[in-house]
Amino acid sequence: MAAQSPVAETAPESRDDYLLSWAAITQMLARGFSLSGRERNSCFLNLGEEQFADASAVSGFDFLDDGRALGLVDWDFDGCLDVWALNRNGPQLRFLHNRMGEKGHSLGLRLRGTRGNRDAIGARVEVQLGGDKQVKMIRTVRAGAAFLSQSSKWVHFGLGSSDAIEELVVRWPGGLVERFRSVKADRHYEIIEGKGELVRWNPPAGRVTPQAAEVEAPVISDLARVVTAARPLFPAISYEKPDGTSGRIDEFVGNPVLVNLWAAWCQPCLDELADFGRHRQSIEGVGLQVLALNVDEATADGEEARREKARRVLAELKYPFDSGTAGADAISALDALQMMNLGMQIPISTPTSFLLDDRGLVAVIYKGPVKVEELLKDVARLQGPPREWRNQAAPFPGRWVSPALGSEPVRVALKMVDGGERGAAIAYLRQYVEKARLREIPESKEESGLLSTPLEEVLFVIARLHRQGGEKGQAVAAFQEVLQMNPNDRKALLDLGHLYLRNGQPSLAAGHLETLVKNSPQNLDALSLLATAKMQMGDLAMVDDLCRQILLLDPNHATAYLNLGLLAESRQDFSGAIGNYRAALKILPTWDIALNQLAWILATSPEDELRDGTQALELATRLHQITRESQPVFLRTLAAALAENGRFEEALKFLEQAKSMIRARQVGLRSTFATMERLFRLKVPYRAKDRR
Amino acid sequence: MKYQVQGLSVLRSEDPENPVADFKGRDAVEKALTELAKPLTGKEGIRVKFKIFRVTPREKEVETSVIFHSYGGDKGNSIQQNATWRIVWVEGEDEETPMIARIFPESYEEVRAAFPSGKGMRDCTASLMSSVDAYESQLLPGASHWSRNLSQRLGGEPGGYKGLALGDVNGDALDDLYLCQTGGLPNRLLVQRSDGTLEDHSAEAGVDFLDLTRSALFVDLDNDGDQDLVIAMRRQLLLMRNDGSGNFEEAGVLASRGAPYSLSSADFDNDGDLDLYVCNYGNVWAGIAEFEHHVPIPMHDAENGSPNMLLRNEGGLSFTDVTAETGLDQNNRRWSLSAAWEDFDNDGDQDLYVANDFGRNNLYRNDPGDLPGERRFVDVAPALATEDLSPGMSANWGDCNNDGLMDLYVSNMFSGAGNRITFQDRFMPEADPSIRKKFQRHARGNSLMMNRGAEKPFEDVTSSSGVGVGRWAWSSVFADLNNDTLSDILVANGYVTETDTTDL
Repeated sequence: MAAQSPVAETAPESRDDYLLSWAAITQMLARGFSLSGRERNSCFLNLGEEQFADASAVSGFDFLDDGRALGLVDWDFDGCLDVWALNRNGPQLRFLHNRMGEKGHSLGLRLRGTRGNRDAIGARVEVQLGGDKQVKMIRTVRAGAAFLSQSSKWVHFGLGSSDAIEELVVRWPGGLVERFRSVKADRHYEIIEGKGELVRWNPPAGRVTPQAAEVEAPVISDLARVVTAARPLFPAISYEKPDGTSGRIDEFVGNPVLVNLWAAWCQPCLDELADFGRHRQSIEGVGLQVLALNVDEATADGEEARREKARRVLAELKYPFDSGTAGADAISALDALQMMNLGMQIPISTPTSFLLDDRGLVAVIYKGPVKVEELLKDVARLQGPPREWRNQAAPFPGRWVSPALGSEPVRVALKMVDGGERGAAIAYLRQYVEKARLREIPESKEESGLLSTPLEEVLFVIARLHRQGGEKGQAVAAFQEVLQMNPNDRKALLDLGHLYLRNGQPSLAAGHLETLVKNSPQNLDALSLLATAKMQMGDLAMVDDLCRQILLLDPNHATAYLNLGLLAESRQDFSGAIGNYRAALKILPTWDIALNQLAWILATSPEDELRDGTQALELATRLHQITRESQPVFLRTLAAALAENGRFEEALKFLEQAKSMIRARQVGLRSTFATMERLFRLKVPYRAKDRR
Repeated sequence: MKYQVQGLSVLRSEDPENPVADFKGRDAVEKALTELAKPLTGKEGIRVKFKIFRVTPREKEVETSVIFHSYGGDKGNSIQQNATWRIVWVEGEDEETPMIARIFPESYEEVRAAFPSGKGMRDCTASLMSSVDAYESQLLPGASHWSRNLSQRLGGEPGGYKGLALGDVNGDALDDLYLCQTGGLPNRLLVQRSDGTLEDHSAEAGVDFLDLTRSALFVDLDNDGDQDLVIAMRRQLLLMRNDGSGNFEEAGVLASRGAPYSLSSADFDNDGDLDLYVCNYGNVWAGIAEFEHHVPIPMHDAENGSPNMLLRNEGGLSFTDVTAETGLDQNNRRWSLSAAWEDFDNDGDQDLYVANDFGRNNLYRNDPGDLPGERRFVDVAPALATEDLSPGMSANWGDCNNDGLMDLYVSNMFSGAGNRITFQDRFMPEADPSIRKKFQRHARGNSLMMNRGAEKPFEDVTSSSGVGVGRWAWSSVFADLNNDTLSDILVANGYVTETDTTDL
């Protein structure tokens, strides 16, 4: 189930698992699973002496509503505090009329500030009861507490069996203290700051007596007619026409079309298709096309048999419109579309229909059979401008403050990726970009009033998806498209830099990274990648500069130290190199590249004072434990360290292993290994060439 | 021990420290269960619930800790039983079915009530709603219905994080009701008529917002004698000025520094006008190409949440963010859900308690600042033992022992699953024991912290007082429900109940 939370933020793998757990829980809730559900509200009765009894059930408060907010108020002025509750589930709103305090005396007060804030928030009220109990109670006038809740500002005191109030004290926020005696219980008073008197307040006459009634929320059904607030793009699914040729949704664009998914075993589907036939005239009258796609699973008899059966069924039903058969990939794409456009992600079932406007955008999703009457009304509403779409989607009128949300094609695409359909995701986003460029999709906020995803972002996601699939050329092309729209797009510049570097094209990387660094001189990732690029290009002076810049911004940047070490080595400054590698390893003690570079120098440097056989072996051993048999170069280093410590037999073994791993074209390594082997057989350690 | 409290009586087992008895063997167990069921005989609507909150496997047996609740009613008389037991299970003869070998009752409580109407409080909503069409059409269906029927692009969310505010919008001293709703459904202003029934004024008052709304607050911000309205939406606050008759106009929009949840108001600097404190939770998902959510790390003590804000009232419904200059930016990167102002040290100024999810809470003591009129807050939660390391959802002040000092009740999440897992030896065996304890504390339940006076730490009396075992708790409030001078506690529970019956 849920991965354990990373205790500190340093371990990257456990953090990824943790993020995935959160994503998994969110997913499950979105699909209709319960979590700590069916829990009853609690009512704890104060028994005195800091003891409470659980009276949840007998109090009647223990509803199963996924309760959230509670507001207290003596609504009917009978002296008992009532409760308004707002819940997650239906019924969302409950007024709970409380009569538990009927037998006790009470007091209700409304305070008004004059010198301090008018609402008297912060005023402290004390009631001292007379009699032998000598009880003193305090209350404060408040505005907002608990969870998303605000109770009435009326102050309520329960007085028990005594109606003798010895003294009432009000401490106003500004410091004024007023004391009142001879206060009669079971009344309501208004107290105005500084006036020195309690003014009786009477509740209005003719109050309705609250009547108890059981209420039930409507039964939850998976049938729904959902008007989309931002008209998402319908994916360009392909299907087979009855004659076996391939059909495309594109062919229908220009007029509205209802795409209906049906199966032969699904009786409501068949009834619905027959109904469409009976209403042929009115459907054609409003210019609506219908495409019924059969989604029965293919059987052993094959596709042609499925087509034939569908044709037969439709003929029997006297269904007069277009039809076809769709495969699993089409269903998967439509599933992603509907799940990401509804609040609850429930897998697609039959019948499901999509009403597309004349641009191929989805205006309504019908889960369950469509009533033709409703369908015709929905077709009439298709002409509304984008600004109106979200109002059409809202079941009750109201006003908006925030701008309208766009359709967010990326969410649908990522859902497709989740379902293993990366290609379909890319195709969907490409289609979106094309349509946006042709103005068939409302794209700019000024025109449509919709906060749509900027095209650069969509293109960026396309590029990333190509990269994830190893399609480097297409990834580069897509990143370039982003840059055409915005030459300074930080994410694209960085990703391209990365890609070119991994492709062995450092000068192309450097070009983009330099632009990025110019715009964001403090972007560590950019500076670091640029340093690596410059290193590979041999532009050493720049590397030095960049690394020092990086270390000014982040003294713990291990890569900068590594690069400075590599730079020093290229300048034959080995003692400088050692210092930098040590610094890198202090930050990341298990970094294989740094371990390798340092151990090699310590084992093979021609300068006696730089060599340290013990340290070299320690580092090389650590390196080996981490990397095992993964890289011949690491094994080579271990062999050299062993040799420096006189352990030539072992050295030869590892060298042999390393030799067997290198490829024919690695001529340099081959010759080094040969030399090393020769020397070790002679029990002589290897020395790097002294190029000073 | 026996308590009689006006129509309610409470019976408790003698000594909660030691088990009442030890029922061992078939006959004894049968006898124990028969005794237990006796008070329910003849009652109607009987409900029984068992909840396992700890499992301790041993060599040849398993011990479970169980919470038991029952209820039965009979016209005016009802009874509920609350108990905790330890049960020892062994393998049955068929080597598959676990069988009860022993029962140790650890605590037992019987609450009997005699109310003429049968229950202490009853749902009377419909009798107030005859003029409100939206009651049936919008408010009877809940999140499960709306999330299946609304386009996701209307900005709704299925968690049900929407609240209510009570306040008098038209100056007749009768409270009206503002209901916050998810994206795509209009918030509703229901105004109370003089007869106590409600009228829907949402549209004409100009507050029928379709934007996702989490909370709202009625406060007279300009001291002109009427209730203005502050509304917390997805990432911003809306200020609405009341024209005096219960109609509102937009007076400003303030961007929040995170996703705003609860709002609370007090005059922190005593300059005569009301200031606002905004609890910000996390960030709303930043950008679609980011591929990452903002999640709490580490889960038991996260400080990567969004900062809360103290907005000082400058008059004319304009506000300045003074969080940093008043010292409130201390320990202010938590996942805050609720805040409650109160003068807990009785020194004449308003202090602030903040309940945070995924970690520790804050108790900001309000002190004089350097210059006259200035204030400076100091987080004294660690020093006064009010950190309550738990997923906090709600904070409420009340003097529950009538000693003149305000005490604290905090809603947390009590998880049966959390308890079962975190107390097992296999849970986080390599972690520092103090961290294991933190996770265990995390799943314990609500907390009652008693104010013991001048600079003394608060005392957590949850275990001994019987108010800890909540569930996944949201709002909790102090209220003297039976008018016996003692403040009782109400807690709203339940996270997500969906159509699927197997709970995660």
